[in-house]
Amino acid sequence: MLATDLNPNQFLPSGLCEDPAGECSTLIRRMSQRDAAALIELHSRWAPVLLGIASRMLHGRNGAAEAVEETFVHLWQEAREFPSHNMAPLVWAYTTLRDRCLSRIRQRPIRETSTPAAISPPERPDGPRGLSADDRRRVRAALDLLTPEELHSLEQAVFLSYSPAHAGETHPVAIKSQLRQSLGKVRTQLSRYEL
Amino acid sequence: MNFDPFDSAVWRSLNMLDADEAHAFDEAMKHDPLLRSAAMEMEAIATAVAATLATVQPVPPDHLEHLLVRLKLKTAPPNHLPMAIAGWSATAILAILLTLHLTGWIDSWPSKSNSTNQNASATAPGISPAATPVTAATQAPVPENRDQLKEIATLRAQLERAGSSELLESANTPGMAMPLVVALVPPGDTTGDSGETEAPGTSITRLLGDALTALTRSNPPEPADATPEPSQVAAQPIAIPIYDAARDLGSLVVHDLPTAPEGQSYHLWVTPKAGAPPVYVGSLPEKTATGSAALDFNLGSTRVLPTGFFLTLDSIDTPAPPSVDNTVLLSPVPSKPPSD
Repeated sequence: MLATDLNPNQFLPSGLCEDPAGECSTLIRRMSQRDAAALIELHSRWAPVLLGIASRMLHGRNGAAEAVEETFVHLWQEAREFPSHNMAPLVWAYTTLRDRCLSRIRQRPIRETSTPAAISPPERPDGPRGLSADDRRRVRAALDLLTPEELHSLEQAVFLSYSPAHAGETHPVAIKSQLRQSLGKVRTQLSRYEL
Repeated sequence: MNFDPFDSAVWRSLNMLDADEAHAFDEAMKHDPLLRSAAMEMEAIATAVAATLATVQPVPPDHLEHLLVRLKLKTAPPNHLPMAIAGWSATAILAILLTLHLTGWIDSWPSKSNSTNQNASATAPGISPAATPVTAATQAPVPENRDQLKEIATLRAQLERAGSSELLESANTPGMAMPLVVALVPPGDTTGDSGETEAPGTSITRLLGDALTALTRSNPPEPADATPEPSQVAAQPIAIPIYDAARDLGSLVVHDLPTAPEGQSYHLWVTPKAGAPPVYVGSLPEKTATGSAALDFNLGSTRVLPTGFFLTLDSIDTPAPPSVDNTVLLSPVPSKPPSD
């Protein structure tokens, strides 16, 4: 039976989004030294997937490109502070992008929590994702263990559909329980993979 | 915030905490290594899930360049688009004003004051803005007219400075739009004015002067008996092709065109260069309820500056090239060849 306790002492780290070759960390270090070529290289690696994430968060490409641009501006300006964050490069980019998208969402009028509009253009199967192919396989294997409802709620949460747009907005307990369970399953599977 | 800190790590990574809860969590994370580790782990999982589920999007071609310009890592390229848009906008406004002026619609605007500025006449050619000053007795034009006045005066000054040879050069400069505007005239009135020979390049400035005059003039109400009955005044058809050679975009605006007989329609022909045979460009809609229509056209190349336009009335399916039998309107023929 899968344990849902999230105590980090009982699980091996997932090792996701790591930068084992240190390529991205090197690029960020070069960015801190104002190397524009490093920024261009990082942009080519991350911009497509960040644009896809932003499009999902903002329910469309409208504003997504600007959010991605603001993310890279922040990465460039704060490159010197990156080592202090103690996180993987892609995680740093993702959290920065998420904050930018959250700001845009909060500036929008209250929207219904209905199913968001479909996002279009077709995917480029060989486009850079920032994640290694192995990480993607591991995540896919973990997500395949979820029920459709659990996967849907996790997807909604990851792409900010459950984010409180206004102070005081609360989420039903059922959603939180479902998310806790689904994320626990994912974490357990990822940790087992390491074994 | 949830009492269980590890649950809070989940909500924090999924952004389901409000601002106060998130702030409290971030503060707690600074002092609790386990909580910080849980938070980092959840962030990594959220990142991986997002990167796996998101659809990779093609990045807009100018995205990187825009980023580099914003960070001042690259200088911005000169942008000719505003000039092109301004040129097109001004030309479109001029064409509309000219059409309205020629149809007398502008003349029906209510008089704004008892202005003594009545020397401006639509029939007097070559009127410059300086000849029709807006006197103190004249009320200031409404804001939209002032903007139009500025645009007309600016464009007129540019055209007067440019001359026809510069028009030809500018029309084919990438990124710059100097649209060709022509007022078609009936056959026989090839100079564009009754019995008056025009110097090359002045017909457009004359049109601008007429449009400017129409806006600055304040006419007192005419005596009722002096106003001609509409039925007594034959409506002159108006056709104005506007063509931007730099982008190969053109539009033909017509007004008061008699309805074409059954089985016939109006066709636009263009001579791409002097001495070349006319080329068929397009046809107006078969029936226009009010005699007004517009036709968008292009010539298939940005290196063509038409030397003549012809509007013919002919069979819908098999229009014949322009001739004395089917030509309704054509561009004025310059009396002198343009100087190089």
